[in-house]
Amino acid sequence: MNQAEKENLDGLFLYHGNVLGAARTTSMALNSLVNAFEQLECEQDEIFERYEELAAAIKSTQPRITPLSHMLEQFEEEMKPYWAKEISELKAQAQKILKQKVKLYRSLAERVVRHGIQFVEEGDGIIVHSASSMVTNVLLQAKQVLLKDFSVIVLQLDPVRTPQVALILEEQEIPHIVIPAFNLCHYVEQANKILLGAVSVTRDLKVVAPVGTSTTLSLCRLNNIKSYLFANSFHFSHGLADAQRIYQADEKIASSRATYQLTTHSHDLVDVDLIDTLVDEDGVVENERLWAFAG
Amino acid sequence: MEGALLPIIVFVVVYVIITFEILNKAVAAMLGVMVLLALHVTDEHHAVGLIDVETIMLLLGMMSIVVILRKSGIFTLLSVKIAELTQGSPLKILILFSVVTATMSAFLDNVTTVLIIIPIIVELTSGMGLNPRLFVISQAVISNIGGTATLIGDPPNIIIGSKVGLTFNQFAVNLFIPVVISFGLALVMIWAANREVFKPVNTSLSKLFSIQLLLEKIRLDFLNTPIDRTLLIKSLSCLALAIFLFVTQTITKLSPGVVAMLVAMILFSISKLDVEEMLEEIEWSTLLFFAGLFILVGVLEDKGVIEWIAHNVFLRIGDDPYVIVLTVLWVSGIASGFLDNIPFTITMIPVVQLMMETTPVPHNILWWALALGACLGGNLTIIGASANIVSIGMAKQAGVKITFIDFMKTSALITLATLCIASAYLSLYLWLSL
Repeated sequence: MNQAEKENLDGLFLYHGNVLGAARTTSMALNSLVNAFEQLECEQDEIFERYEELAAAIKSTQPRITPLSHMLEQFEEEMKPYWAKEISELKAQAQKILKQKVKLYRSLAERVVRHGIQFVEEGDGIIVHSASSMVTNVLLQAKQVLLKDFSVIVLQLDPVRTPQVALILEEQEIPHIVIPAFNLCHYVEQANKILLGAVSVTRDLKVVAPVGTSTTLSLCRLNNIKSYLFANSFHFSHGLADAQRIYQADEKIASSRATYQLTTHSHDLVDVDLIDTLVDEDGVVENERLWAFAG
Repeated sequence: MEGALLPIIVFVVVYVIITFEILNKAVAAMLGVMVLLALHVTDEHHAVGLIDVETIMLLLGMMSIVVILRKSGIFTLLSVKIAELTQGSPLKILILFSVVTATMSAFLDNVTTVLIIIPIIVELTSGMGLNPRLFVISQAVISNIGGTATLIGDPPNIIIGSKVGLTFNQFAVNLFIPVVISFGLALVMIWAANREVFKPVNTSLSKLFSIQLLLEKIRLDFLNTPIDRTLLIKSLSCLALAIFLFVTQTITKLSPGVVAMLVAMILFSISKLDVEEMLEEIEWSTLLFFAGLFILVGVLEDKGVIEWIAHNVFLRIGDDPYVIVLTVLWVSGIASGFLDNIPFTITMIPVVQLMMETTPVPHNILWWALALGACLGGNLTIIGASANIVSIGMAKQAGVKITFIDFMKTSALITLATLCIASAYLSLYLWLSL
């Protein structure tokens, strides 16, 4: 894989992370790998080398998609006895394991949602700030299963994702408004909760979350709006915050009177302390569990 | 040719302005008309009578149907499905998109076709690390070839069909064979000249994986507006009705212009869309351009200029029907490559009519020569056809620069080859007819 192909792959992951969120990007990437194995035509002795090259590229995307990296590590472990097998068996086994990983990941996400819906209460005003499918599923199931009535303030994010979220809420007849994140101060009195998803939670207890999360959470904290973060255990990274490879773009801006360099980061780093409740597949992550994870 | 000097000067100046894009085409044509009116070369009542209303009705009707059809989201859905079918294989991208482009161009206008196809093909090929340039050029070329097949496929055909009274079926029956052969030959030539580009990608796990992510991105980007199924059914039914009425034109005695406008009005009535909003999307400037050119050429005809050109240029080539047919084909082909083929066709129609009077060529073969020349010749250069200009403009917006020479490197040989196919076809047709 040359540099251009690597940059191209990074760009695709960055796009999908923004539009789909880390959870759905992980499932989609695993399914893509299933299809890629199915279509691959090469010699038996080339296949491991080709996989290693791709896996290295996926694990080093900007930002690092932590759940996907963990899934690939598990896949590699389970594939160890099969790399030397005959190519058709190897490919079939790779696809089978990857499909199992997708299933596992989805079941974990469903468990997070099952725990998450209990935090949605009658009359809530809920702020949504991320492309997380777990957050939208929590809202949907709270409405459909628990028949809760609540309203949602959607903070405008990605031009593709925001209309998707608005459409989902509209179809479920959940009252909602869409506002730019920088206008939230005008709506804080209508809200009492904020629901979030994240790319990862690092070992130094930072949350890698969509851009703007940090400012929004600070405003929520100031206004006593409770924050809930939904992330299954695959989102918990072995690494530290500075190893998450947050994408940084430098752009030269030339206006009529000034030229300056604009630096933007693709994601925010937020202290876990700013989160009131962290929910994973086993329910609320208590402080003891969090400290044990941090070591 | 008394009083012909002024209209000739105005006509040449307008032609130069159009060719070098000094002014908007419609403005240039109407400005020319206004100069003729201001100088009392003709009067406004006569000028209006020179406009071929049949052509304008057909264009306006088809534009209206396409605007509503596009609103339903069907074209985007179709393009995304094709992108999925290719699974990132460069050869499949070329073949499948070309089939769709050619088919769409045959029944819709070429510009609409490339407006839909080019963004997806640029996204797909650049996302795969391929250079989109070849694919953009190929689709522009293919849209011009596909549009040659039917009465409604390309403006020169619309003009010829309306002004001469040829039917939809006559176009389809007489032009289908050379168009299909030209289409196949164009694809083979593109493939043969760029074999490196079309190497299979299924030997690389990384490429296969990236393609899957890319296809998902295309789905998300292009299908984020849900398909309006009701509108889709209504507009497809109306398009089918229009094609049915075109095909049965000899029985119903309805001209293509009447059919197109009738179906468009039915569709406006049943679609319940905001008509004002839909009308804003119609290319009024193109219609104005056509109207202006009809007047300019009509005045030249009145002043005997066209007859003079016919007698002193085309009728000097003798009365051998083979020479006449091939001359019309190649002159139209080469001229359409450098001049806009719409004004060229409007100018050539009275010339060909005079040629037909002097040397009757059977089975409208001279008209097919003009249609094939004007449509296929549009592929010679970037400025030869509107679809080329629009495709290159869209590619530029996406960061893909295509120069005049880049375009010609691919298109010129294909144009010459397709004109050779047309020559062989017309010669054989003539030989069988004589």
